[in-house]
Amino acid sequence: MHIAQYLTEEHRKCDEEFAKVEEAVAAQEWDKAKELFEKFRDDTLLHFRKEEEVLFPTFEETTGITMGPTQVMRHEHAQAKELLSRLEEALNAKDKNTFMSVGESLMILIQQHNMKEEQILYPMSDQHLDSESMVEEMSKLGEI
Amino acid sequence: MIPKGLSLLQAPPFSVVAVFFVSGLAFGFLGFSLIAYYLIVGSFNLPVAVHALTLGFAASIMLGALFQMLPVVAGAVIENPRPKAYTTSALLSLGVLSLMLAFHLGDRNIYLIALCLLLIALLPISVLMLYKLLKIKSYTPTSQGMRFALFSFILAIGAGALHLSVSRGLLPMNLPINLFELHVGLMLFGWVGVLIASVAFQVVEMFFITPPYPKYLSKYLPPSAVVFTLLLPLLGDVSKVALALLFTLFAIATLRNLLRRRRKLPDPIVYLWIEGMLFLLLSAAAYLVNHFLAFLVLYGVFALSVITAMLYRIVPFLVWFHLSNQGVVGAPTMYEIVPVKNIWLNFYLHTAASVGVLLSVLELLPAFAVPLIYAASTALMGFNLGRAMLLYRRLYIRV
Repeated sequence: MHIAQYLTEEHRKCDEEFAKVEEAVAAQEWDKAKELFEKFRDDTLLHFRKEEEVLFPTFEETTGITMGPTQVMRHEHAQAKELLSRLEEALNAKDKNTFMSVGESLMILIQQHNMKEEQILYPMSDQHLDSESMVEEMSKLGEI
Repeated sequence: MIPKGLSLLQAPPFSVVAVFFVSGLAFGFLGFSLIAYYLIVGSFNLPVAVHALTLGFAASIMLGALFQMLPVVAGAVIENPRPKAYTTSALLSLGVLSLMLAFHLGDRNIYLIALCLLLIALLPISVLMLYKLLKIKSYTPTSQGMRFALFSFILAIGAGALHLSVSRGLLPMNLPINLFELHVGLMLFGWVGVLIASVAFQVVEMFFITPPYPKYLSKYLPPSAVVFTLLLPLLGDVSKVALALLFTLFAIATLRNLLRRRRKLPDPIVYLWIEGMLFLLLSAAAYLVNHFLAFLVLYGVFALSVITAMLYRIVPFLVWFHLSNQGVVGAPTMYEIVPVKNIWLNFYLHTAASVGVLLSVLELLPAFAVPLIYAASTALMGFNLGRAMLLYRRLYIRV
């Protein structure tokens, strides 16, 4: 399997999970929303870990590009993590408006981030790295 | 904690985009107010009103959006964007005002000034953007579509300038083909239509979590639309049918995708997109039956709906994004920057005007009411987005 296909599928799964969280929050079904959010958060963080612990270091080592796209991606992961913790706070406070506001920012951030990864970083990774072994390494961290 | 001041390779400074949006919204308000005035006094100057909205409003906002999207979406970086953006925006504003004055007074010298200002404002930046896009090796339907849109924009500017020069006696020559038809076609279909479609190929899926567009559409719509527009003087009705069909397919594909979106919550931005596509369908029908004014108005509502939707998504996001990059902890998020109830209000106002367009055609509403409501809608958008920009400025200075 290609790196692009493997990680893009994870993006889509996380998108679907977030849409479900939003619906539960809008309906003010807080227990359900919390459960769904935890799944979304854990899966998103697991996806970030696969990239930060396996893909990015190998990409940097192989290509010698250390201050380019991977740095931007790490920075956007940090921004997303900050928004995830703000979402959790809003959820705990049962604050629908704040959740929706932070959620919208997170969604756009993640979508434009995913777009750059899917169109630039993943194809470059498939081109320069051993796709099969990379996917195998990432799978060892868990599956979404 | 996010590291402060980390350089993001791609995003241009917020002010680069903001100058175009501010002047664009001001021209939008001016254009709709003028149309209302013309309709009230019963004397209509179409070129003045049309250029306030197409060049002053739409082109300004679309150029601002391209400054943002070229590096982020297409990977085509414009170096040192600030002076380029400020100069383009200032000259464009002066050029549009001069052109409006020239159309109003019919003065030869003012036409010359307007033409010079607009050519200097628009040609260098459009050529530069097109050159940057042509240089990138890997491209997506969006960056490919942007190439065709900019190519059309450059040709449309040339066709418009030449048509104006000849028709107003600035150049003593005869033209073998109808450049006016080409100017209008390239501006509306090749530039506005293709750019909106190309952006939609990327953002509709992204913002609303929808299925992707059919590949045949995202790949072939931009070149086909430009080719059929260029062939308008030769093929006539064949080109017209092809163009109407292409944009009908685009509108249906967008509506289909939006109806299948995974984020199902009520959202004024989605509804603006849907409204825009419905008006695009209506405008295609008006185009086919050769009703130019109806086509122009309906197509305008399509473009305005999509531009409104895009501005309400992009501006608050950029405010958060840039503040977050500055290291502002707990930077305000989307609806803290523009409250969602304000966006809903703007959606209702915009939709009231759009429905008003249809009612005024049936003579159920006085025509002047429509531009008045659009003027109010544009003013509200200016207020909401202007406040967002001021918030950015306030928090940015603190850092």
